[in-house]
Amino acid sequence: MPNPRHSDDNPYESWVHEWAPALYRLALRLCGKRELAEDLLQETFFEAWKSRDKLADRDKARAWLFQILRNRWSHHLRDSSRRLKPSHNQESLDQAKSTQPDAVKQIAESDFVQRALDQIEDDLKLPFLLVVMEGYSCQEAADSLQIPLGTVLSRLHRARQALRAVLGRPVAPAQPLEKP
Amino acid sequence: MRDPSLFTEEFLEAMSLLPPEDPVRLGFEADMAHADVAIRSRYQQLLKEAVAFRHALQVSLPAGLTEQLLEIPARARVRRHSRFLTRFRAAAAAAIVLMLLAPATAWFLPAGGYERIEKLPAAAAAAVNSPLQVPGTQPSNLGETFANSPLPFFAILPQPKKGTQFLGGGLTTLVGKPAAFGRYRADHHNFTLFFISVNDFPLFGDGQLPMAMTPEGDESLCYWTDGPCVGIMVSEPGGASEPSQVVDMRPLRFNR
Repeated sequence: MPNPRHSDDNPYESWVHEWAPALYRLALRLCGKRELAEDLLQETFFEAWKSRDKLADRDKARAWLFQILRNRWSHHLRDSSRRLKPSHNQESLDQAKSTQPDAVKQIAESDFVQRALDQIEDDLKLPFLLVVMEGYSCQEAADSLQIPLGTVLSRLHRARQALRAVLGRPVAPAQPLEKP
Repeated sequence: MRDPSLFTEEFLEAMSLLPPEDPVRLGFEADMAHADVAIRSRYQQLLKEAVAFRHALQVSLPAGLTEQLLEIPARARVRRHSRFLTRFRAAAAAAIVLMLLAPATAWFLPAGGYERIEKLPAAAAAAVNSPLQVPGTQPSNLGETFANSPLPFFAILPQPKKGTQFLGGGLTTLVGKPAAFGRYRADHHNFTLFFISVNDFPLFGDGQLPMAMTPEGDESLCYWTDGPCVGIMVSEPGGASEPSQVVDMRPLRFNR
């Protein structure tokens, strides 16, 4: 009996086994809500199943699935006509800024990072998540998001600055460190 | 040595976030070997922070979700061949005509008390599959309009037909979206009628049922859209397949 994970006849199953964890991760980090992330994932795979014949190159399944997920997320944002509100109040944010001096230790608290992610725009968040969380190369992220490679680098930096600001670490001024 | 302007804080921060095998990062690090020790030290700090970010972002797939995803094709096929849809479109058309003819004020009844259920377990599927096990449900009056509900329309619990018992109803949420519902029992089978906003489930507009609302097993599920409202009836296996067999399908909602 063929292993469904590698079956050419049933790519859908292989997509689920191979990419569902990464897609769920991205969905959860984008929306910050487990229930909504599961819905987005189900809608993504439903769309993928409906459109499976449109994927000419199966080697591009990952990029294709991620694109569907991003479309579903955009659709959700449009329909709700609002951005998801952050799951914390300003008071807790201020408290976090003042009581968490160790950035690395702070980052290690996943929930804290999620609350920080909720504060930044998708334009910055998406490249950050694709590269840092999903291991996209800079070029892959540029291709996937259809933006120049330099823009990816710029947004990575800006996302990191934004996250760090939320996490309460002082942001160093951007200037050359090397002596002239 | 490379141009010193290459080693700005922006570049160090961006490059240290790239995967270790990224060609762009590898090229940058090759140049880094010739950079000042302070810069290399700073880069190492940023790498450490990047690793912490990477670890903090990892999450696991919830148990059971893979199985649900694998069932999607089978569910979609069933839905595509649903024998209920055609009959329901006719019923929905008839309901719309009746709705246009009926005097709205006759149905505009004052809102009664209801118990709002903030969250159903495991979203709509759980509510759909176990309509009589919805916790915290309190009977509501027939004709309930839910005037103070977050729904963008006045949902009205319809009158049961002869031989049908009204069990109760109220407000709930389906996949986190507000919904009104009424429950009925006829011929030893239970039925739940949901009213939701089409804006909350845009797939309805495409003639598609949101996956989160797909029933499992032999339960039948019929739905129709009417302006901003989506009506959904869920029946236990063996129960009636159309809401018109259970309840009076006169106007069920009004625009706010």
